[in-house]
Amino acid sequence: MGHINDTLRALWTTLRTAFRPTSTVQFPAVVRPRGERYRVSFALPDDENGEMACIGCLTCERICPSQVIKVKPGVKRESPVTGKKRAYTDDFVIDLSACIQCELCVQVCNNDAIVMVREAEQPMFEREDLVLGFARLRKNATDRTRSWGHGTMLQESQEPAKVEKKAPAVKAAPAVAAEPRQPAPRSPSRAAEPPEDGARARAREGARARRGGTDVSATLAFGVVAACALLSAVFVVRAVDLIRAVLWLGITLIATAALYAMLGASFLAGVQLLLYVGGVMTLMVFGVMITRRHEGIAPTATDTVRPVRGAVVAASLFGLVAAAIVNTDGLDDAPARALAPLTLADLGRSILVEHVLAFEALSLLLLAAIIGAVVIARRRDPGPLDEPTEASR
Amino acid sequence: MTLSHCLLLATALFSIGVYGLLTRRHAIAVLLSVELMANAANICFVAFSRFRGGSGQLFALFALALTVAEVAVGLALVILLYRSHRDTRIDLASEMKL
Repeated sequence: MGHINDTLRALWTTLRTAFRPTSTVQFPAVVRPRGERYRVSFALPDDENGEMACIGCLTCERICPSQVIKVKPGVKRESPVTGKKRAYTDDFVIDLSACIQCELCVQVCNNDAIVMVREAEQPMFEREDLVLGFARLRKNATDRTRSWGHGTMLQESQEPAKVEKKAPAVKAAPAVAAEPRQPAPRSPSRAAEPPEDGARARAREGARARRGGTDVSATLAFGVVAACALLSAVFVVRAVDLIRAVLWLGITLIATAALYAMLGASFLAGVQLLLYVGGVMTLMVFGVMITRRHEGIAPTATDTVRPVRGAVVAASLFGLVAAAIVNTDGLDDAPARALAPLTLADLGRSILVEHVLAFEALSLLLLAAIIGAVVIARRRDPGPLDEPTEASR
Repeated sequence: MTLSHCLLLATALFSIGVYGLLTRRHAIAVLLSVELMANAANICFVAFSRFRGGSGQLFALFALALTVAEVAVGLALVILLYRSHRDTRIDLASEMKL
């Protein structure tokens, strides 16, 4: 019994999680708000006169723990703006591939001549592209937003007197907050669960006793299964995310399998679960994964076309056929002779004796489908995987 | 649960499939809609077999196998489409040559 309980609890957890809003985002499409001190790349900004602020003093190069900064100091000459003599830098290189973003170079700079920026570099394929040269560092200063810190501010904020006062207060606060949190979250929900379960079971039993006949309960079960199938089918055609659509299709197919079982076709229900929910769903998920576009979410706005016209056509089709079903006389009459339920043995005999030709034809068709699928999906020329074949466009 | 209930459910599922078939552009979404429609047809077979007798179950079994074959070939086509167009919108496949 313990196993069953555990399994049910695990299933319940899965079910509950399946209907919660997602906590992840599609990164390029949605960017989460970044912290105030978020910083990734570097820039060499101007000073107040509009010249590059760096004077090539080499302080940053010396402090860099991973030694990724190379500065080439230039000669001293007169500034064209102020007319005073000042030092210049001929070259400045930062190797981002080994940078640990410690911001020490920004902290030690006495001229506020190196800052970090909030926008990351584009993803790149070559390791060499991660080496930021002079031109790119200068361009970052104008193109990107600065992060929070610069040398003067960081140096001022680390003056010893201020730090000593703050230290104990900061440490004490989280310790107090953390202690009572641990035992709290689980216990109330666990305590509440068993009585609720019992009450639900009792209510169900009472309802069954009141209605009495199996006919009503069968209709009720049919209603639940039909509602599941229809609802998930609607989600299949409306879901923007294809993976979700495939999973909703799985719910529809499972509901259909339940319907088969209720209609006395238990073997068919099993086959449905195995073949459809197991096989086809896996194939579909593979298909979605293989053809998913890499840049963020699939195009949502353009995915559905003409929804109103489609809805009209579908609704009128349903109305037509449903009217025909409702207006047909004698559809729900009991058959003239009582039907013996179709056993598995009957089914097997039917397949392999009466309909053996169709069965063999079907196996041939499956073989043809397998070979056909392999031939169609085979890569014709083993070209490089990354580049789309432009000629075939 | 009567025959007409099952038939109405099947019709509704089929109509939803038609809706998806007409409105979705993504090839795999179209495949999913076709699956829904095939599923609805199968429900009809099984329901008739249950309430009227006959070899409806057998037919449904064969139809199931056919649908699986269709999915395999359909997905192969989708992958081919994706490989040649870098996209799986179905209206890109407007020419016989890929």
